[in-house]
Amino acid sequence: MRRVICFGLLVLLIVVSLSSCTAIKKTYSVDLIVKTTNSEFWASVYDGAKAAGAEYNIDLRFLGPSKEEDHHVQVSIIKQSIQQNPDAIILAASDYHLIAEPVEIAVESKIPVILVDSGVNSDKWTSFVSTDNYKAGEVLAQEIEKRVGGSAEIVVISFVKNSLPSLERTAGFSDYINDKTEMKIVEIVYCDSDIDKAEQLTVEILQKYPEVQVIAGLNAQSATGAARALEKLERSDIFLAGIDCTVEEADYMEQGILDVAVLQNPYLMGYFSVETAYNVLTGKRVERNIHTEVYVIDKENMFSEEYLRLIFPFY
Amino acid sequence: MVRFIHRILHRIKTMLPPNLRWNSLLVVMSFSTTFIAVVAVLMITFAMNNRFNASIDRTTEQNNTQIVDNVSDSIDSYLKEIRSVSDTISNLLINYNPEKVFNFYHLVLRDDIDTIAVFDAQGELVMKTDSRNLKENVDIKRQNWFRSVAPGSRMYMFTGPHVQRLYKGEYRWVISLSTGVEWTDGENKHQGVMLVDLNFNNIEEMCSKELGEKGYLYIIDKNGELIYHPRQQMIYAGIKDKTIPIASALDDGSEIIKRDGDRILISVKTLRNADWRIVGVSPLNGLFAYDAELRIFISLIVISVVLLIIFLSVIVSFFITSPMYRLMRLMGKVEEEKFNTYYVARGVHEVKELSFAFNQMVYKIKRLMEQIVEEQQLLRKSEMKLLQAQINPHFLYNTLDSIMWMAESGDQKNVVKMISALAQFFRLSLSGGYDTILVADELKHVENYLIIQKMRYNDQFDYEITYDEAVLQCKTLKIVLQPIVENAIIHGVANLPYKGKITINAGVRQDRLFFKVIDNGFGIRPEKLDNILEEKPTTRSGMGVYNVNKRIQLMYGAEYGLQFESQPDEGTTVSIILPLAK
Repeated sequence: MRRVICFGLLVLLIVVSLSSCTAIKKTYSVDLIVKTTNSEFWASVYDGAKAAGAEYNIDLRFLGPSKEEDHHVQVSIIKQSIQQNPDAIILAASDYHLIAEPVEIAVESKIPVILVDSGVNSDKWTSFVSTDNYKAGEVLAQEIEKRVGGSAEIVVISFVKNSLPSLERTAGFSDYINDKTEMKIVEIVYCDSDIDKAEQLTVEILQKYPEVQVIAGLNAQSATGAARALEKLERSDIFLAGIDCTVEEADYMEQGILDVAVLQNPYLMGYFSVETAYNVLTGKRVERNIHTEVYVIDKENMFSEEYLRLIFPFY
Repeated sequence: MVRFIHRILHRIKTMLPPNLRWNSLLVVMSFSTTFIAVVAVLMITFAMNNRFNASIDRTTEQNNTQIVDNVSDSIDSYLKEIRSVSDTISNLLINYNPEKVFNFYHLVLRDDIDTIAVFDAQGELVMKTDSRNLKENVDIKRQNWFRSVAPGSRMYMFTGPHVQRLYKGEYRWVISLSTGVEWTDGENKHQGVMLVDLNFNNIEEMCSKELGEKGYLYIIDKNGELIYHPRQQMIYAGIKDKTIPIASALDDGSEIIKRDGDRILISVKTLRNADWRIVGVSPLNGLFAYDAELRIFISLIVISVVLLIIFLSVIVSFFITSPMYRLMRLMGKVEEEKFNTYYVARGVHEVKELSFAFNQMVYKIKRLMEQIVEEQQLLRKSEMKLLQAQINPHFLYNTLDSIMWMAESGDQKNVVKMISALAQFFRLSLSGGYDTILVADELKHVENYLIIQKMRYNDQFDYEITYDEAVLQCKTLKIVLQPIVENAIIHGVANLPYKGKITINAGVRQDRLFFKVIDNGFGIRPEKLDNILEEKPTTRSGMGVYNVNKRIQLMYGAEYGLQFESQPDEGTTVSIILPLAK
């Protein structure tokens, strides 16, 4: 028996010395495919992703259409990415239904897909890093109730009809307004994440519903467009609430045009998505849903140390 | 499962040749030497790794300390430079000469300074070095940089990073140097605050020094608040750098911190021109993370050394054990009584010695065997001679002649007595071919002989036979007494002028069986007595005595045999000493 143990020890020693050779850190290649590369929000996601990439030795490619509504462009970008056979794909789906197929193709090609921000109509993805969008909509509604209240009329400017965040935020917002308050949503419009269209829509809304007191822009572009319109029309009396806060919006907030914003943490989303990809690639267990926090900012607290850091990217 | 493995092992064990069994010397030696050597190699590798790591630690520490020193020097002089810009402007400002200030500023125009502006004590803009307009609703008095120095105090203060919001649509991260300034505008003395906003261009560049493979530099203030970090936005977004609280608790210098199994070297240096501390952080991963190629190289060396050791230990063990297995095979042959085998010594010294001893042993055994064969042959030969002596024609003729004379003289009684004695004498001489007979039979044999001889020598002598009852059932070599008695008669008592006497005594002394044949004859001369058993005698009866001694010694060894004691004209005592055997 003792001999067997000795032999076992010997084998162990050899195995240990062999395995020490193979434990060399690998560099992974990961494609980050976002809705559009022309956006402050996605630049911030990319920044976070780059930071995590440096931390975990990951070669990151930042891909995406130049316009968010170009769903088909995103589909072809995903397909090209699959051709390149990266170790993982981190994807922000611009359309809930249309992007489901390429996600499944990627997973069939043994490429794990981590979703960031926006989901797809498939369950083949490995992990989903996002803001809790329903909650973001809900929080926004709560803030409006707190600051305006009463039986105010609300117009919602949502962004892309078939994207999951849009659907969820709208749902969270409407559910709260309809169930918990006296306020009324008079219309929900979609700006397709186009600032000019949002601006145009705001002008139209103000003509169509002169009684409207509150405009809720459910993403950066919606709120920015609305703020531009309100500035031009000098209608800072309209309560403008938004989700996300770009630097331009921060300016509007300082001026008092944008009254409240629910902040996401796109940098952290980017960071977590790459970290999750790394954990998937190194065989660690990952959570299927990872939510980042939302924060409420207004003119009073926007320059506090905590929110300053989230609103204005440090370059 | 364990039983299954045991069965497999047992199967393997029985299939292997004997020198490959688990407990064979070859396997035991190979394994133990390999094991020891591997342990030694690994220990050496480990020790060397530790030494190497320690020296890497030292080098890294020296390196980092130096880099941190250099960076803090350059940041120090950078801050000093900014202060001197501020000083120059405040000096130019004393007489409120905005022209000079502009001229100076255009001389020093630099892209790391975002804004130079002077505000009065109420926070109203006095002058600016560039033409950008301030935002309308900006409330200077509420801003930290403005509040951090008293207007006109000539004090300096560097703020931490903050977003400057003087201009519309511009929100830049800057570090502000506030200086309390004074100036005289005609008769009026004014007090205010000068703002110099620095962007991070230069600081970033100065902190981008390589600090090992994964090391980095950052700046904190004395409270541990972050001034600059290469991953500033990451920290702002909520991913903490765990080294910041550690570094803020450390004094200037370097320290190795163990955290979550990682060793991190942290070097800290406090600046002279601000309450800032430069922190250099580099993970100490040691030799094996230092260089992947080196790691592979060392691992390969270790593996090849281990393989070499296994190979060598098997070779050495084989070299040592194979002559032993040859020796073992030869011993097997010796067991089969093939004594002409010998071993040609090869291999290690001890095995050579062993084989030499083995050869000696085989040679001795061979000699002994030959000796035994020789002795047996001698024994047979002397027995044959003995028998020949018994059936000596002279003795038979003389006896028969005596019988004839007795018969002629009508001495019928003595004829019967003699013939019966003769018959018994011969019967006992043969004694069924056995070498040993009962002492009782031996005594009877010699008595028959004495009866015959006494009659033949006309009662020239008397005889007496005494014995311990106990010895009668003991065994003795046959026909040891008769040749002695024959000698005693012929050389002792036969020609005595008076009547001779022969006494035979059998008993036990010192656990040995002994016979004594005592006569009162002429005795033996001392010079003859000394070597009576050594020289081969010439007479027939002398030959008989010699043969008895030889037979006893061949049978039982040199410690047994005959002893002579004799006094001339007094008589002779011959002792026959034999082992006591039932």
